Amino acid sequence: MLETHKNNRFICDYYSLGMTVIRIIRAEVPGGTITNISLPELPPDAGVIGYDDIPAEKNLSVFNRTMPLLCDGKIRYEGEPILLLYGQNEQEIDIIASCIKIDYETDYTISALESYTDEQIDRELNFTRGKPERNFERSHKIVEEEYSTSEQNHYDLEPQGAAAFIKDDKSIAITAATQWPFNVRDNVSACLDIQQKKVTVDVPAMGKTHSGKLWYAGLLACYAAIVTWKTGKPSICLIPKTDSILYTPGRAASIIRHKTGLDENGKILCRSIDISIDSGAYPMLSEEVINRICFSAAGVYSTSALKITARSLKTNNPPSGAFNGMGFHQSFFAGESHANSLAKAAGLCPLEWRKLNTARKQINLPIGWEGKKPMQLDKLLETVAEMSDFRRKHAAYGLSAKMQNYFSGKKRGIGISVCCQGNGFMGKVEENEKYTVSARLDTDGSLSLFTSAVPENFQTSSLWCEIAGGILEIDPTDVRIETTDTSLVPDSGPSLFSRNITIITQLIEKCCNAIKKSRFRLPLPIEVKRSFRLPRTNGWDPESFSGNPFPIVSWGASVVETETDPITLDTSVRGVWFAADCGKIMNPYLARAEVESEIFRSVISSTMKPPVLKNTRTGIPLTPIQPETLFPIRIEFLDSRETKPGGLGELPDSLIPAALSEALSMGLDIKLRNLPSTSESLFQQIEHRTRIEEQELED
Amino acid sequence: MKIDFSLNGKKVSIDTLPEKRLIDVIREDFGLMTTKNACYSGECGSCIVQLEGQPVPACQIPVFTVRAKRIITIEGFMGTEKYLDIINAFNDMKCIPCPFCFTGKIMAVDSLIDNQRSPDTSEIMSLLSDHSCSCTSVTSFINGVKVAYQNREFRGEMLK
Repeated sequence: MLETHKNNRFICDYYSLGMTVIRIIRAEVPGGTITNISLPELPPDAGVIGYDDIPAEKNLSVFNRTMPLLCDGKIRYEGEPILLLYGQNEQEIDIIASCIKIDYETDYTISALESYTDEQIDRELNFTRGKPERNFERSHKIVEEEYSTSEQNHYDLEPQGAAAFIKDDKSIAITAATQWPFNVRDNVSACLDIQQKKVTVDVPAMGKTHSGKLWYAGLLACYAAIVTWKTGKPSICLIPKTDSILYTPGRAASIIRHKTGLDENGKILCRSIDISIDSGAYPMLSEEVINRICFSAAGVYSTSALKITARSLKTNNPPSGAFNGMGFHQSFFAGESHANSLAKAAGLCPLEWRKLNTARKQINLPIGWEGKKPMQLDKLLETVAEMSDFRRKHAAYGLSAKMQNYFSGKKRGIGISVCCQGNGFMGKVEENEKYTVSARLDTDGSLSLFTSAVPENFQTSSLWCEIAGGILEIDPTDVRIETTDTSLVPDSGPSLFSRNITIITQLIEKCCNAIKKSRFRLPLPIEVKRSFRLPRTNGWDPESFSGNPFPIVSWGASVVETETDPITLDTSVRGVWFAADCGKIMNPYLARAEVESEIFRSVISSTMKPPVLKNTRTGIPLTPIQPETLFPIRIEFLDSRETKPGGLGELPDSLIPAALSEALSMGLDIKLRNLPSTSESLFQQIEHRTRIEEQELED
Repeated sequence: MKIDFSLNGKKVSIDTLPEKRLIDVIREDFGLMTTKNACYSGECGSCIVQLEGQPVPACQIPVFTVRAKRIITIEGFMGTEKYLDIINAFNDMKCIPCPFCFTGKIMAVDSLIDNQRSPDTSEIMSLLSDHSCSCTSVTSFINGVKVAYQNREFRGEMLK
């Protein structure tokens, strides 16, 4: 039910006159040492906080990784926070900030993924299955390619930020736009050296997060807490949009090299995959990203001989963080684009090649799952192929590209891709995490759900209300979701990887069913609590690459059709067809809306050029998140053999880039190997093709 | 500088810097926090208000330019029948924008459907492309706007 949103307060709405405003003074060079800091004369209500002024723990902790709250003297990336400047008057503070002069002794080389040194390697994973080298020797054809994806920034509209208030009992109340309130609480308690129960964290309204508010809010909350602790006054730390784009954790850039050997029939004999990802200066979540990127690198195709080498590299970029999929996007783009090249090398239609090579059971997937559940990948591929008339269009457009004069008419192309979405963390990072939800049916018949899980969007909270209302036969508008204040709600863990759907929704169902059973036997209010702990056995072992990586996996396939003007290189999408097998669909209407908005977003972000905003840093611009023209989207959900609900919001981001890139490549008779697929990259590839053709003519 | 204008149907007066952005005046000086601001560059659409009935990004309007003019923000629009035309349509079409972009979108939609002509899909897409938040389904938004126009038209007929 759409509310008027009158009472929804975002973090920027917490600013009021009298609050202390905090500005982050950032490093202007990507590496070096601070030699001197010159401060102008400060008004009485203003002040500066540096690394040494942090009362207790000087590092932010996320799972088992840490990074300094403020620069300790040695700069590791451009934009690293050095000082906190605070004061009462916002305009005055901005003027003072512009007068602070920091001298550096610079010492850096711009790190590139192509040429890394051993010291840069933060974590390296090596996995070998079978004997790939021997199989390469007996391969009928070997295809080698390199793919790259650029860093991708979050584009949440509302600013990132946190506010801190001192309570009467000397405890501190934090309001932070975070997906993980308990992590904020733990970090604030550590940096002030106060008991955890003396810190309460309240979550304001938030827009769609795409996992962008997982841990960064903890940093901003510590800043606000330190200033408030020092001054005794409420403070707020909001970061400007440009800083948010430039310096907050985004999706890691990657370079993925594929080498695959095929037999005479086009079946995969062996694969070798080499992956490098940019973890930034502080690899806070690189363990999870590297695990997931390795897991998904070989896609959903069975192969008996496989070698994967993956490394996360420390660079002088801001720490990379969580973004939809955390590695799946990069690896499926490379893997599915490579699959199209393999199909071409085998002389098969990409659809038929995929059907020939996809695994039939989970245990046949390239990376050692122990699960034996059958998969419906063929059915998914057939569904999108039939919906889109893929076979006919692929043959027709392929023929047309070869026969027509290059400049005669617009060039159409069509691409297909298939992927999976893992729901939950892969690594051992949350082995000890326990997720709890409680529910209370009150005397007035209303239901309150208590959870620290932050809904990713308003569809999720609507869904929870509908489910709870349906079980207890009450109006969904009588269901309140209390996600605020860590002192009142149980710890429900970080809200990402669709765990709101896969874990929290189930806990809500269990709570409501328990209330339903005792509803007319016990007096109101009735309160029940249900918890979930990840199973310790059969978990994923990243060392041996074995076990069950995810409690639930969703599968998807997609087709994208494009039309490109060969002269202007203007591209339009003619249609997107999407099918998913994602367990029980709780609300088809909301599921479709979620997939549709993610498809639009993915199409745009796959073709959008990241402009250079400042020095060495680039960022996705704020503007073109919405399409200017509508293209048809058809979505189909298969009857799933999985009875539990699975996530599906990350599937479009893993499927669309490869299918779109292939469609563009087909139309223009080129091969795109990098993301985003901008008109510049189209032009470069056309030039490259022309050079090769000219060379061939000369030869 | 003293500036008089009409805000949500009431005559108001403010003594402020003439170049101060209208969004800051609305939020800071009048405490109308439901109108949001994200980009300060007129690109995101979250700060749209109606200036003489036309949707404008309030972050791009210096306050001196609104002297003697009518400004309607979401606070002044909420509760009106025109507002309900849109809300009911969005609910019926399951269009659920997030509350951050909601206010800007709804003010823009009102201006679009208020011109007594049924908006076509391309006009709605053009409106949507002025808003950078991708929180909701495009199809449900288009349907929501079309039904909102029908609601308004139907109510107009009923009034006749």
